[in-house]
Amino acid sequence: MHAKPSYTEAQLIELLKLKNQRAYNYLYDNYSAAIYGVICKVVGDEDEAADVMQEAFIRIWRNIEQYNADKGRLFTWMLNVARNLAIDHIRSAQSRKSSKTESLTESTPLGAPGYTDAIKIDHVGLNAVLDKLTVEQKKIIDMAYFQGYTQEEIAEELDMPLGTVKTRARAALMKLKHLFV
Amino acid sequence: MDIQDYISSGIIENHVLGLTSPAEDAELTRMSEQYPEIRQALREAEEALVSYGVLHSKTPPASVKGKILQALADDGQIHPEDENQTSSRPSKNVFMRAVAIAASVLFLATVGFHLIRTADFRRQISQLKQEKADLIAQNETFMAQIQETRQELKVIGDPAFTTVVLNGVAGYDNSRALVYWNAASHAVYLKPIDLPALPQNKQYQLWGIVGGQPVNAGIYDPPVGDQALLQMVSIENAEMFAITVEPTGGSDQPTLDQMVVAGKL
Repeated sequence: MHAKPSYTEAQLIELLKLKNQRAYNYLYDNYSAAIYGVICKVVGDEDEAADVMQEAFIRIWRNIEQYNADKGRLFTWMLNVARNLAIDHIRSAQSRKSSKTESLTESTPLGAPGYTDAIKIDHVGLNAVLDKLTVEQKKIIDMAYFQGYTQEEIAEELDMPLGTVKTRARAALMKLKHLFV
Repeated sequence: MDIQDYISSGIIENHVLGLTSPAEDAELTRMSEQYPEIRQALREAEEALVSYGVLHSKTPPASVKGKILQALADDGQIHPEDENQTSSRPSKNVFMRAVAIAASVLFLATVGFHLIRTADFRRQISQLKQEKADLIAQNETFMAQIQETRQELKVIGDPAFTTVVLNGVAGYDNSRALVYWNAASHAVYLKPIDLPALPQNKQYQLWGIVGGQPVNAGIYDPPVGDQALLQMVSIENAEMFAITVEPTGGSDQPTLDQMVVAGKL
């Protein structure tokens, strides 16, 4: 019918703040896969992830006024909104069930040996990146980024001093930066 | 605080991973607003982590988008008519095309109308120009007539002029002419009245009779219509005036059998 519109981030933000439907469609079509991917990674269950994503998009839509371009990119903000919502979701689910530490070892394969082989990875890029990260670096990033762990929780989980968590977290992220930026 | 030390302290990386305390977060926000290097490092760390997140991309179930749209509509975040934006596009296009066609037709009609109007104006302008030229010519004619009449009145009204009536001789009984002669200045004016038309090769010639001898007082063509006062050749001591018909260009001596009118002072 017509060519897909292409917006600069500034244009998109402006249109989103005007509650422009086409801008919203564009937003969904371009970013939903990344957001859904992150939510799935956090939540684990795909049906639950779909529910969380619905909530995330409504929150993004409703709170677009709060987004401040000076504080970072729109996509970063959106991904953080979705990720925080997903983390809140599992946190409340976990607190309903049992203690978080148990839940982590059971519900997430992070700590389990052979995790990278167990998960279905259809993304060549992900494999390439994971190959460059040590198991420990990946674990720290996933615990912090996907599970919302605090320094103390990671220190406890990985049985290392707080200072070490801090240093290794930095090293892990420096590696990512080296790989992407 | 040294900026580089701060950047390499790990606070930025720990912050983007959500591992910092609220106090540390506030400090970083302050520092990044103050130092572009810190802001830059923060952006890079965020980008790296976002890129890592994107690697896990997964296409959501097709039903999710519709559900979200519905939820947003229920929430009043989207206006219902907006939802039809995409599907209503073709009819919108048809409408826009109709508007465009209508605008084109209107434009062409306007151009045509103005072309016709312009031609009309041109015609009117040339007509007015012609009328103006006619009026100017008419005015010039009137001015000339006024001038002649004024001259005539001046001569007629001047007591220095003597009026000589030249009556028709035998065969020219209805012909008549008037001569105004000024004895002091010797000026001669002729007012021909009812002189018959002449063939192409003939002209009238006025003579003054001085001491019994005819003296040429000038030739003229019989004027058509209103006959103006004609200034003729000056004559001294005139006793009589006469008009004869002579070959074009006049003669030295009058052809006496061709005399038309004559009159004594």
